[in-house]
Amino acid sequence: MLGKIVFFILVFFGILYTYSLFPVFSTGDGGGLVTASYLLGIAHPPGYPFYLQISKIFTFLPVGNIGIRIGLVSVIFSILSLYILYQITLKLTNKPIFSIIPLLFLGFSYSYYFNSVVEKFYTLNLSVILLLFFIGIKQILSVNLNKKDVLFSAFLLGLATSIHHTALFMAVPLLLVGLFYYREFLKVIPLSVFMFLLGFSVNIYLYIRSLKDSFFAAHKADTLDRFIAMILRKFYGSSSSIDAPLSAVSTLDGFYYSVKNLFTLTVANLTYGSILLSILGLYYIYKLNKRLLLFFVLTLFMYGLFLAKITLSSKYDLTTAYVSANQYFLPFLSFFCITVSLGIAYMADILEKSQLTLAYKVFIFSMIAIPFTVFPLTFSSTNHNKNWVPYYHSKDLLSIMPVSSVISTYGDNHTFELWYLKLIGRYRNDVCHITSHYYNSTSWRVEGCKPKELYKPLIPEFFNGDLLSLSDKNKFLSTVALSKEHPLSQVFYHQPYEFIFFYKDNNKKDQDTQFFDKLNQEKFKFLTPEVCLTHKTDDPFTMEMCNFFSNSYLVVASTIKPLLLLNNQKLTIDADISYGRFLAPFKLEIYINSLNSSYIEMYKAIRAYNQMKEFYLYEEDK
Amino acid sequence: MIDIMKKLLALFLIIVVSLIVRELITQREFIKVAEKQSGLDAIKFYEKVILSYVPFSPYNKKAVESIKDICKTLQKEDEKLYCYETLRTDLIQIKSFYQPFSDVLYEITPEIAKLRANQMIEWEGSNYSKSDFDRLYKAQLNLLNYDNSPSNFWSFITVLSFMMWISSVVLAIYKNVIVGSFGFLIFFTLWILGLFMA
Repeated sequence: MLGKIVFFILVFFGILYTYSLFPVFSTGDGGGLVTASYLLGIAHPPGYPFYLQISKIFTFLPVGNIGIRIGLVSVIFSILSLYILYQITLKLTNKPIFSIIPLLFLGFSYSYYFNSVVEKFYTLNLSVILLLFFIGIKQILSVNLNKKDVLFSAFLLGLATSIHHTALFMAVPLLLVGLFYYREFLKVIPLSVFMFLLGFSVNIYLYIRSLKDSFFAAHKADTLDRFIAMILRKFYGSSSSIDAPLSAVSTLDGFYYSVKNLFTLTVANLTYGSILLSILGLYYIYKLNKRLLLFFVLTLFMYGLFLAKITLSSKYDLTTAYVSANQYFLPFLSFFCITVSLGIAYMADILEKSQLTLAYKVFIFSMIAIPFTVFPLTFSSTNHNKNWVPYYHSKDLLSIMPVSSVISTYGDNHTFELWYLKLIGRYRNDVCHITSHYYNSTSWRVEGCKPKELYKPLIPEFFNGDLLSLSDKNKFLSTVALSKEHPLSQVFYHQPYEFIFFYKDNNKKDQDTQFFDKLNQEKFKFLTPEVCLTHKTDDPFTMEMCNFFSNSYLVVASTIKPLLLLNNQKLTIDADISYGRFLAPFKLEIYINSLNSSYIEMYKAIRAYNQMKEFYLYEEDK
Repeated sequence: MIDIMKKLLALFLIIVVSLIVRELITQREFIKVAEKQSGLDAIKFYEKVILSYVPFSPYNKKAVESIKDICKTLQKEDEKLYCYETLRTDLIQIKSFYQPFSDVLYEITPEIAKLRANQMIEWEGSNYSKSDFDRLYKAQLNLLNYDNSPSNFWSFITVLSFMMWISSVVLAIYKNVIVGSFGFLIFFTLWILGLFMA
């Protein structure tokens, strides 16, 4: 009976997560990962070949669009992770009722739900980690070493190098428990190394696809040096896979924040009560098996404190909450949920032994009911069913571009989504899309402008390096406003165009803006910023896009001038657009009149709807 | 183990079915809204219907035909271009192992090339004249016909052999070393070949 209930719970989550997927692709890395999957290319380092190939299979499904099909990968591995979680808890408690509880706690938690509905690899990564954990538990509960399991674990760890490097943390508890408690373990190590390398060989994909000159998000892996740089994520400098953990263990700086932030994340996802239950759970494990406790503590340490020291050792802010905490700590939250359910089992055991039958039933019922209480809140902030923002933000951007012009972008949200529309959707593929990894860089990558021989006849100025001529023809645009630190600011100034900018020659700054005024009014019809009023989520990346999008209303309003310019109707916008530590000026003069007041109202409405102050995991005031 | 596999397969099928249902609901919702709109607004709603493609759904054809009709009625060239480009990208985005409405794609591509070439000539600041039309049209057509996606056949071989060589290793570990190793050699080789060919 309980087995059937578990099946129905998994079905419920499967339907819920599928319903909550973005209509096309998600914000952040979503567009980039979908593009790399579909084109069998190389995503940002370490390239994620395992995820890309699994995702590619789903693109053959003849339902929906390519983006949402790849979204199913997250849903399916999310359900698989919940199933493994169930098996782990069942193995430890032998009572299905207590195995249902972590499913509900985790399945309804904000971070888990969030990662189950975006085109990312975190649920796949979690499945591998939980499988390794399950093998570890199985091994500890048996007397003799199961060599086959050891070899399989080594193979899985090898595969994990092609998914996400955090899966490799599982090597620490597995190795230590193996070395401490099983004499035969040493004998299996040579063959295990071979199996690890066999799993690692998935990364050959990166080398071959680089030779094929397929799509690549950051750099190729066509030489040994570049291959190593790709695997070790050297592209990210001090955040590379070697430097980040080394610098984390070399100092105690930031340890306080690591602990505090981990606590904040856990409480936000699983409530304060879970902390006490988790401690009880660890005590239950201690009573059950001391080896098991060591295994649990080591795993929790690696995925909790150690990972927090690497990724959460600064003050808790929006970026920490949504880029690091929300994504990297799914394994920690999963293990934590297991300890919570064991704590509940322990409490229930006490009540049962005390023959408090009614209290026992009420306790179990309330423990099952608690996760459901957070569901309305997580659903209302994580259901992306109506979130068309990333799609229209990128499509509209291309729609307003002059034919065969150049657009430069910076940052994931602009770059990855344009890749999807241009390289998969082939929408307005006459536009040459270039991108830089750093704001103040003109070292552009030209994935969105290939092959050169097809673009050169249409945009010769760009390929001849004559950006001034391109700008003179009003064909050099960017999503980026120029601050004085930007190298192009020496030559160009930015002229607002809807929610992007024309780059124009500094020497012609005083030229008549009539052309741009007319263009802003004419092309506004192609924009769909109203999607920013209906997305119904608290995704900070969506809101960020919407805040960019809303600027188009101000820009158009500034071009609609009354016949008589009265100072008392004049609204001066003198703001900065921030690009990390760089601040670019955004200045407009608006003469409010009956023809443009509706634009101002729409601007205000979008800004109010997308106020970047309150999020499930972060509140500005706190 | 087989029982578990059956349950997981059932779960997978349920998830796919729930996607089909979700997309049908979306199609139904937006087709109703689209019918009440006109011009560019209608295009945006019909677009959502196409992007929520479900094989054999009557809404697919209705949305495609409606966008085509709207494109024909639009007077301004930039709106016409937007319309045809939208239809084209929507159809490309629903491509799976086959391309739905490939005839429509074939039909509208030259129209898009023509509109793009015209827009290039008419653009303020451009130094093109009407005499450049043929050259620009041809260059745009080349760009439109360029397909950067890997071959469907070799992509399928690649991902299938990828899954098979991983399964062979698991088989070699737990069940049969000889059969598993043999399977691994075959599928690994095929995988490498697929990566080169796709």
